[in-house]
Amino acid sequence: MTNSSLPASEQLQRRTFWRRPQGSLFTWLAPASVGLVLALLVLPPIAVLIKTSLTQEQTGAYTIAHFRDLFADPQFYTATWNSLLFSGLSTALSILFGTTVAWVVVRTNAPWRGLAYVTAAVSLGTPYILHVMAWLFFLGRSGPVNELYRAFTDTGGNLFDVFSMSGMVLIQGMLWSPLVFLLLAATFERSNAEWEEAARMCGASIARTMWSISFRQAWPAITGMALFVFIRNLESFDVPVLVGGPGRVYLLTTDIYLSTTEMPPKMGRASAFSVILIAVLSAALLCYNRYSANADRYASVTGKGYRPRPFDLGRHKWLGTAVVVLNFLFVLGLPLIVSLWLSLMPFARPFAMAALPFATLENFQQVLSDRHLIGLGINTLVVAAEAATLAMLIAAVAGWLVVRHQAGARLIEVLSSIPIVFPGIVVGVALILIALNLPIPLYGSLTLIMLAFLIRFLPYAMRYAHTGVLQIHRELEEAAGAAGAGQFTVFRKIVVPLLVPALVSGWVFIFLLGANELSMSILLAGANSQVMPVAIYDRWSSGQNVEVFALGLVWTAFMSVLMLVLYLTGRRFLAALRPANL
Amino acid sequence: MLAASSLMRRLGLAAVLLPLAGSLPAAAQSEKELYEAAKKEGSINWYTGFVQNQLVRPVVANFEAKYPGVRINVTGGRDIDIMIKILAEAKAGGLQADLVEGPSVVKPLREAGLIQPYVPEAAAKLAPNHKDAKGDWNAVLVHYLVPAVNTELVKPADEPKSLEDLLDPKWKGKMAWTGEMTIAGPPGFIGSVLNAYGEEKGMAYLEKLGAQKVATIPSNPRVVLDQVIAGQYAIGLVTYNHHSAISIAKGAPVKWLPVNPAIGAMAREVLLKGGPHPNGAKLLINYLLSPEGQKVIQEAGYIPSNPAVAAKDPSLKPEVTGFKVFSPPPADEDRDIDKWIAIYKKLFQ
Amino acid sequence: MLLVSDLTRLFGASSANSAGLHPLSFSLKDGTFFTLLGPSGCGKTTTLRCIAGLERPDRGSIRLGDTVLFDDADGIEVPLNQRGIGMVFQSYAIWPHMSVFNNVAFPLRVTRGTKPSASEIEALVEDALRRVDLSGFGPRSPTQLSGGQQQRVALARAIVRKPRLLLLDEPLSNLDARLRDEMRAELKRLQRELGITTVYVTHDQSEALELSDLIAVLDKGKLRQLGSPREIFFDPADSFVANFMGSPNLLAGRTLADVAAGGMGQVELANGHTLVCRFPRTLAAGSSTTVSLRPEAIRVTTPEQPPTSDGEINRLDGRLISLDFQGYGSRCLVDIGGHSLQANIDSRAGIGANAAVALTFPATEALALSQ
Ligand SMILES: Nc1ncnc2c1ncn2[C@@H]1O[C@H](COP(=O)(O)OP(=O)(O)O)[C@@H](O)[C@H]1O
Ligand SMILES: [Mg+2]
Repeated sequence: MTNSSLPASEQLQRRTFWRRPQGSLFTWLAPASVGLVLALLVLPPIAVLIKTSLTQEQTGAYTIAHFRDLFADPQFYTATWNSLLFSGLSTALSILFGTTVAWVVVRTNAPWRGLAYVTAAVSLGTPYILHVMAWLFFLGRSGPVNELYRAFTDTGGNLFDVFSMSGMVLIQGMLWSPLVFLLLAATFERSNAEWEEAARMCGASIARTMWSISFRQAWPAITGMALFVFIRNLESFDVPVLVGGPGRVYLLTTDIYLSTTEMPPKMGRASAFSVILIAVLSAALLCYNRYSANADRYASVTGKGYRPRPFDLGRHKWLGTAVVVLNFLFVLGLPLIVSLWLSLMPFARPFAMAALPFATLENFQQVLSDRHLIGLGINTLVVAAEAATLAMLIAAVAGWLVVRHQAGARLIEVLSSIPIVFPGIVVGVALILIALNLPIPLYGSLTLIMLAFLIRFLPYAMRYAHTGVLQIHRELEEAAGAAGAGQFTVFRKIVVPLLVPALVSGWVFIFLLGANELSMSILLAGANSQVMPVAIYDRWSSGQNVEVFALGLVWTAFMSVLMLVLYLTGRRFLAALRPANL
Repeated sequence: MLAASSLMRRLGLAAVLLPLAGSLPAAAQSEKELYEAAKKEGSINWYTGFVQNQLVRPVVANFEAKYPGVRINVTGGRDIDIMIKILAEAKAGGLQADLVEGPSVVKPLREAGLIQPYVPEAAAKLAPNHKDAKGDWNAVLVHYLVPAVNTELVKPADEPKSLEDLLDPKWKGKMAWTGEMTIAGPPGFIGSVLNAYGEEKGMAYLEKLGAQKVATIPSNPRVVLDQVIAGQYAIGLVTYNHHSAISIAKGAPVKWLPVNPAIGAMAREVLLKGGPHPNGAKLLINYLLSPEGQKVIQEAGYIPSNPAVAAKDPSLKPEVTGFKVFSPPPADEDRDIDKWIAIYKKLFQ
Repeated sequence: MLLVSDLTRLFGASSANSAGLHPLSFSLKDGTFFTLLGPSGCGKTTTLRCIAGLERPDRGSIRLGDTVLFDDADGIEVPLNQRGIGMVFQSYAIWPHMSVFNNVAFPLRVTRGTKPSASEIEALVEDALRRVDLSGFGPRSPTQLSGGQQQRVALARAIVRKPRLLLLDEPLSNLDARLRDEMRAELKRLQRELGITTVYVTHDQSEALELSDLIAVLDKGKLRQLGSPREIFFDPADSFVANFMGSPNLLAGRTLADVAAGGMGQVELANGHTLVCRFPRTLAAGSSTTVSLRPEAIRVTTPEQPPTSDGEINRLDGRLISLDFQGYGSRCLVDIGGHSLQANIDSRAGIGANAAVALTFPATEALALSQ
């Protein structure tokens, strides 16, 4: 009170600040330990990248040459432009496609809607690289699209050059649309059906209602998601390298990758690129955070227990079915058919009756008799499961701290969202550099891959946990506090059980990402720490191009069964826990 | 604490390496001693860019049958990925790789000080240009890189017969090559052109070839060949001729062309310094160079480095089919490769 | 005894009219049913949350019996889970993942320093459920219960460990009208039965009048009046309280001479008329004053009819604007020149719209209040 020149409000704040240390141990321990863990996970990669980008490779001396070279290179500007164009267009495609499918599936009575969920689930269990390889073949010069074109036009040319920006956009857009579908389906499910019904009562047509109510309502979620997908696209690795590479459409990630694949690897240049990419992504992230904050607010307002009733599409409902079937074909059917065809061939052959006599199961035999197969599968599952579990554990505490504005919430929020700007290839580069400087034998271990996954996927875990906590009515926790429970008990007995559905969904999501992740593990997998996507890539890039499709299919089948089991047990498990009254 | 432990690690490493280095000039271990020592080590970490289902699997199967108790763990992938891993492991002080081979591995490994010189007995049979005098490397097999065409897309009359034929406008956008920046990739091709034509005319040729929009496949030449077989491209530019032969045997519509000059490269096997299983690695190198190992290589359709073991398909060899080979001495290759890569980037990227 | 003194909790910039709670003091004897009454946003919930320990006051002190729960001067703050207070939340806050039994048993299981046995817990929970009329509902999932039943679970949970203080935040506002009446009676019975000091929050004055021993009327975070239901109803401290307690007739005017609390005095209305009024509070000459008149107290007659009542009589002449039939009585609106007044009239009096009328009422029914 001595400092009477301060305005009253500031004095109040001071006093509040000084009182803080009175909380229970948990209120201090939780933010402190979560903050520490996050800092240890998130900050070293940035530090090591910045350091490497400013270090001369041979001498170890400080230099800004890597950045200077980049900015002097016209290729850099082309790559930046290509990156933005590619990300923007493919984001638009997957959002357009995913949103339409989600709306048809959740909000209409079109028959066969369930197919979309199966499509999305199986497609998420399929390694990206398998999708990409299949699409490359399908749309390629000898693929059925161009074959048909030649058969009908007699020009000998190609209708479509897949190794181009449009090919990249098409493939990338299809890769992401299942995810957009799944996330937006959840949004549409949560949406307030009474608003739509009110609009219909006022005389609005279905289309009008859709436009003015449904999509407006979902708008914050859609824009938030668009930014999220845009960022993921900027970071993407598989398509730019596999499709853009041969087509000479170079992106920022391609350039990073190419720098690391020179002999010797130009880690300084790659790091400089990474630092710049991180800066660009950070700008996008800022927008994303602003939007997603809005989206959350929307969602929590509409998060009441409304059961949306589907629109009756009447005579047009088969149109809805057409959308669902088309989605199935593009997202899953065609890639799987192409994969199956190729996996039965002794070497890659175009679709043709003439090739049928060549069909053989030899590839499957080879794959199934490989003594590494089981180990590979186990490694992959273990790493993905570990990363998902740890990420969700951290996120459960962190998400709760953030939503409930506990001490250090802001810091935790920032720390946990930083890795969203780390492209996988960048995390891979950074973790190699880190592991190289650690006294513990991390390099080449599964643990290192797991750590990379953990870092990279933390922001997604946070999204799930954050949204989950938002849906828990604050008074449920306060009631427990008033009933005599300490913070830790409240967290353990009230928050965690109510968060289980969100944590489980997040876990499955991260598990799937991890099981299919390539860009990090490709740099981190060692002799004794092989994982499936890397094995697929290695086999593909070293020339087992048909056998690889057999391996991919075997893995897809296994993952689909696993997902089915998870889904069936999970549904019963979740139904028992479902907080109907949140 | 960090510094202290890394110092300790280095000391420990040195303690392991010193007696090893000391024993080098002494007489080579007998095969039996080597096997016993390898058995103690239990396994071998072989980092290899060889195509798994063509060569690696038969080699592993035969080796493990001959030396029970020694397992080979294979880390495959593109040569470049393998090199990155090895260099990184070495930096981490935890090298896991025991041995590695590839067309362009020696230079970076030598610069990183990762080569453990080793002169196996069987190396005596190799031609002088297929081994390093000090034992830094030994070629376990040789290969020739040539253009290959899809026979369903290219009529025999249209097959390119010379480098000049590749500039025909009808091939524009229909050719592909690997993205591997080694002697067995575009840099090797560029080197061969400059060697054949001389600097000036060579550059003029390459500029014209650049205008042909050759697609770069970010994988090894086997993948390029597969794409040619699949009909995605009519011509694969730098492909191993034995790969074509292997596929032709399975009925693939492909044909390799003896266009002059072919690129001669070899799989230079290197024993790595500080790997966890040095004895096993030596045992494997010995095996690969032994008549038995060379036989497996031969059976797989590759061209053994031991001149006494013929290729399964003799026509793969230049002296049989009569094509010229650009095969720079490794020292020249190591000197020039950066220049060739620079040209590649300028004209083809 | 609950003693709250100078409780302050402001949100945003601290200025005289910022949202939150300006210094508030009251003390409750054990067993009191105390109601915080006021319009939405006046700070009732904030007060309750401060007492519960869910919100940290900026200033002031709270003590319960001989325990200091909060005192900013001494830096004392008992964490909410150690206050031993029972609370019913507006949303009920029934945990959906626990059975009714587990919900009610939760406070017994987590309270510090006590470790009741399973059988003790069972007995206490059964007792609490019986008291709220939910015997046998223990194993059910709360998600299958109706709103009223959830409300009872919340109540059982709040009383199960026999707290010294019970806090209820608009517990009836989510119920439909009939259920609300039922629960009101039940609450009252339960509170009497258990004798728990209770702080009850509502914006419904009839609820407050029926249930409370003591009422605090709040407005914009400031205490307007503290008193028994009768005091609040009959002797509102100011025009806000009078209005909030249901008086529609508030006439602006000016006190003519100083009047002490409880005395009678004259108020000049804006239209020039002078009324003789009762002054519940002291007012000085010249201070602006609001006269509150309940419609029930006003007699409406034709201007010719003479006053019949004894005592001091106020009379206002005016014109009847509208008439709403409500059975025996009708509600009418009378223009008295610059003011319109609501009054009750005998439906059979034969006075029609637009008729000239005289309004008479005893001086004791005209309350002169500060504005
Ligand atoms: N956490 C908060 N931050 C800012 N303002 C708040 C907060 N909680 C309450 N208020 C404001 O304080 C005032 C009193 O709120 P409250 O006690 O909830 O009112 P009520 O009497 O309706 O229960 C309101 O104007 C409200 O907007
Ligand atoms: Mg309230």
